[in-house]
Amino acid sequence: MHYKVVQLSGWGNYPVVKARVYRPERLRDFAHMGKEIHWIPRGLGRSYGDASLNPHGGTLWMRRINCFLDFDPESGVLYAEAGVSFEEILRVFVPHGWFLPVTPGTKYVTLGGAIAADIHGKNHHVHGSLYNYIEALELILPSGEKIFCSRKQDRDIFEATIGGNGLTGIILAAYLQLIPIETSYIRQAVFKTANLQETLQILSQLDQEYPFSVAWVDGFSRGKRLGRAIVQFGRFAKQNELDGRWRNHPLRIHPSPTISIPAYGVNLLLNKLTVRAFNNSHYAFCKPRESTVHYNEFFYPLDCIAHWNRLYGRRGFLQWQCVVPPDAGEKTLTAIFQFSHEQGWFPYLAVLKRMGSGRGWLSFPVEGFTLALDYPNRSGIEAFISRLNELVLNAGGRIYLTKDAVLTKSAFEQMYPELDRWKGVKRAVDPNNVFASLQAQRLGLIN
Amino acid sequence: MKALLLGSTSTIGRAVARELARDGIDLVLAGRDSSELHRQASDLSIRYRQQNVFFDIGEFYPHFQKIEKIFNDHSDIDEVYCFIGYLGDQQLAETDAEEREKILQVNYATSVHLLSEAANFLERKRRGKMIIFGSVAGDRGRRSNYFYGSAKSGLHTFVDGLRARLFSKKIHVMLVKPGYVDTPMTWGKPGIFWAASPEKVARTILRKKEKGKRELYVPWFWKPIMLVIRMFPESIFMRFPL
Ligand SMILES: Cc1cc2nc3c(=O)[nH]c(=O)nc-3n(C[C@H](O)[C@H](O)[C@H](O)COP(=O)(O)OP(=O)(O)OC[C@H]3O[C@@H](n4cnc5c(N)ncnc54)[C@H](O)[C@@H]3O)c2cc1C
Ligand SMILES: NC(=O)c1ccc[n+]([C@@H]2O[C@H](COP(=O)([O-])OP(=O)(O)OC[C@H]3O[C@@H](n4cnc5c(N)ncnc54)[C@H](OP(=O)(O)O)[C@@H]3O)[C@@H](O)[C@H]2O)c1
Repeated sequence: MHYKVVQLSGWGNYPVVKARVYRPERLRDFAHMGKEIHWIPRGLGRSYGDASLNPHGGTLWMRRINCFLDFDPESGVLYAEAGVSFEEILRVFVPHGWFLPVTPGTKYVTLGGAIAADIHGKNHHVHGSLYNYIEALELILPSGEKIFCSRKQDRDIFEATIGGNGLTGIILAAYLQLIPIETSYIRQAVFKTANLQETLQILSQLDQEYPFSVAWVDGFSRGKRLGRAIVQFGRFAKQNELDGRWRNHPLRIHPSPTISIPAYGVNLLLNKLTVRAFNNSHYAFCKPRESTVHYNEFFYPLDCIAHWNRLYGRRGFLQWQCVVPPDAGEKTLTAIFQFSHEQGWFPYLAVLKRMGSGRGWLSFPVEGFTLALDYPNRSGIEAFISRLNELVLNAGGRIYLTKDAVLTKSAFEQMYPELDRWKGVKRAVDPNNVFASLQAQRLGLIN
Repeated sequence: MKALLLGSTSTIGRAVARELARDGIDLVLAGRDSSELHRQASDLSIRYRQQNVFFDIGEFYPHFQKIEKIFNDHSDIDEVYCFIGYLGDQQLAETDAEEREKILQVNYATSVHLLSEAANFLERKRRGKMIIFGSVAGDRGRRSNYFYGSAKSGLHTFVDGLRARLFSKKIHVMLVKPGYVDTPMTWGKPGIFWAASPEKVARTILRKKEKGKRELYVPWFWKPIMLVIRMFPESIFMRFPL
């Protein structure tokens, strides 16, 4: 295979590295990958930080390994290659009454990338992470050997690969359990809360009643209003709940993006003033309501603008996501917002959600509250984020690696108690650390 | 409608196959790599709930198989696409007879054999379309790819003749001359610019085919570029480091 030298970054456009990108298109390409000491697989580059970056080796861009291989309409199990995107899965299967069991806030991720991050969605508090819906994986190990692994076969490799951030080998294909739906619309209930306490309370209370929940928090509000939010709950609508105009097409799919940001922004559109104004009006004009919306609007509000990350300008932005235990929730989250404001850092986006229990290994979700914050990149951001990381560590929480570019090795090791177990598998399948990323190097996931 | 795709697993071929399958056209996929044909066939049938079959017609160098069987089994084929092509290694070909032979075989000789069989089949039916992939590289010899370019150029001449022969039999022949398309042929190669996506190229081809286009440059701007390139006097052009 040939490689192309490309300036590459995660979705946050920070950090940026010069990478040698290989793009397999035929299965036989994996037999002559090229002379590289290190490799990192990559999908649609929607991880924010440096999980899919490696300037010291080859980047294996999997997007063109994107065939659907089998589908069982009885059980709803799909066998598809890693480069297939969630957008494609929805396009093909929604019209036949199937949906993704777990989905992130964008549909432009690959199946392989989603597995490698063991993603969670708005339904984590009920259904857990993507892991619960992966039946088996087809994997190319660092040795070059191709294996199938599952809960019954090579279980350790299976467990270490889901949420393994591409470090245990190449996910070639996976068996994914889809879930049946009657309509592609969501019955949603929207609430407005006055402060963090109310936000956490309503999330904890109503979570039992709805499979989907998430809170948009006004990250600029302080004092008594700190943590005020618009909280959204939802479940799939039944056909007889749809209006006349939709009832005849209950399984409509999503439209293509309507707008595309052609170039890096110059901070005119997106700055402290505009975001503050947006937050205030978004909050003020939001009416608590019950309504029916299409899944695209409910799950993927940002997908209607292609390349929206460019609005942050060339320097990019950092998304930071933590989860803190339920008891420490209010105190820690308050401290995070307060500290942030004191330091003059205002998150342009803040999303809060309750998580159910986790599954260990390198998988991020554990029981508690998870908060994701977006900060435009300015000087001093790494020091600032490190302080946030300390707050989280002291509260017994952890940081999501797929959003991270800053975490230190020692903090990371305290956050993930099952790390040694994961490293045991890594050593066994990849003693020479063929699979490595900038992040893996920083966090000591490779030696 | 049924279409035969020769070299269906080529990157542009895959994009065209998906477009055709989306339109509900039955496909006969032909290529040299069974496992790739298998992937492609299952993908198309799951994505578009569409029926298709595939044939492994083997490597074209040093041998190739005849494709009569395909036409015997599928006498209802009415469109034939040919995506087969091999860029090869220009520098190697300058000294290595085997590489030279392979470039000529794949791009010219075997393509000519296969297309002749397809033409004879369609001629008997007195209707149909042929869509054949040449290249802008065949428009003028350049030092960086003249083995590939001259083989494609030969193919262009063959296609022009074929078109004239089949014209009275109501068979339309379209020659596609792609510029740079984002496939393994161009990925990471020096000097590539504005490579078009295979999906976009596929959509353009299918649209223009319906309009009865005889020769098509994709993306469109390669037409003026090649016009200019062909106009240069040789005394100047041969000095270009292209
Ligand atoms: C707007 C937005 C919203 C998001 N919301 C959520 C959310 O709600 N929940 C959540 O969990 N995540 C969320 N994410 C993060 C996203 O789901 C993950 O980062 C996901 O991994 C991205 O997939 P990708 O295909 O883009 O992978 P990439 O970013 O390209 O890669 C991610 C990781 O997967 C590895 N990888 C990729 N392909 C393979 C393969 N074939 N084999 C082995 N390893 C591979 C890479 O090495 C890397 O470590 C969001 C991201 C965005 C941009
Ligand atoms: N990409 C461009 O920029 C570009 C520019 C101008 C012209 N073109 C032409 O457009 C057509 C499609 O190109 P593409 O980019 O899609 O190329 P591609 O992906 O490399 O496909 C080439 C096709 O030829 C087949 N092939 C190659 N060598 C062969 C051999 N020895 N025996 C049998 N089959 C062989 C390949 O089979 P496998 O699938 O098994 O590999 C594949 O089907 C080609 O004719 C090419 O010359 C492309």
